[in-house]
Amino acid sequence: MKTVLRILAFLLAITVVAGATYAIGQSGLVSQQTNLRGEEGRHLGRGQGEFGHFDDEAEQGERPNFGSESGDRDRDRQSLGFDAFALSSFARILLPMALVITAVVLLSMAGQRWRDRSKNRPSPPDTPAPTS
Amino acid sequence: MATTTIPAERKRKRLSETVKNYWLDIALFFAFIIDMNTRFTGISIHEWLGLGFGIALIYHLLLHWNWIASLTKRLFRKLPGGQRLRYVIDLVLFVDMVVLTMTGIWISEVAMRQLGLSFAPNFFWRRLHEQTADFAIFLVALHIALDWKWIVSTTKRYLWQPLTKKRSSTSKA
Repeated sequence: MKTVLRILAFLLAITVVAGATYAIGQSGLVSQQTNLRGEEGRHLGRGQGEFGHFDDEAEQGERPNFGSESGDRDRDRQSLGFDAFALSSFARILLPMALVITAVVLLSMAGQRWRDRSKNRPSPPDTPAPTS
Repeated sequence: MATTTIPAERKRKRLSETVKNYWLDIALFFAFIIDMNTRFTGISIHEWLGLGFGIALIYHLLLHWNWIASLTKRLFRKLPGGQRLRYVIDLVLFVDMVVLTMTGIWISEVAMRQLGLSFAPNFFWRRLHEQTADFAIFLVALHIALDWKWIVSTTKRYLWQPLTKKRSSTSKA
């Protein structure tokens, strides 16, 4: 029972976040910006590009990877599944992660050392003992 | 007699929970890394793995319920700065993961169609999905970095020590 309640609590939180995201997506500000992009697209001969109503051509225009010939190849690769050449793109994910982890761990270690040092530092002999 | 058995059982339970946590975290990490590389997985595996990842995340959160509940109660009272920072980062990561998963569902091309659901193609959801995915890389890295001590100590205890013990016992034999 406890677990069910906890799951329900998480699902409620997820619904709130998802609902807020959906509301933002449907709000006037976003649709205005998307319409602007649609206008840009029309100037480039991409078609209407209205929010939520992309025709195929406009949709491809907004997704540059899939529009060109090489993009089509990427798309085919994605659809086909496993791609050994894509192993190298793991570096794109792992490198920033490793950098962030190293930076944070080093900073926290330095902070800990500094705190330890300031704790263990003996008080100078000339300073009078604090009176209560 | 009873006083000696109860703590031992409790200890065993706690140990098993730590092990469960540890292996789930490892699985989640690898699932995240693989799922982020769409070219490697292909769109179908990417979508199904993403859905599975979302469900596993709920289980991950359930395992940490006590920590979440106690920190939420103490958030507006006296709380160490490090704990508060970790809570805020985890909260942002939760929101980011929910948006990432939901936008993934809304722009799904394979998985939702296989389930008999379809959503209208939308440029905004696609852009949001890409941006939250990029942001998730940094947030997950921060999440790991803030728990680094626990990761190192648990790896030593449950992975390194059993392996070295096995190796030393085979060399003695």
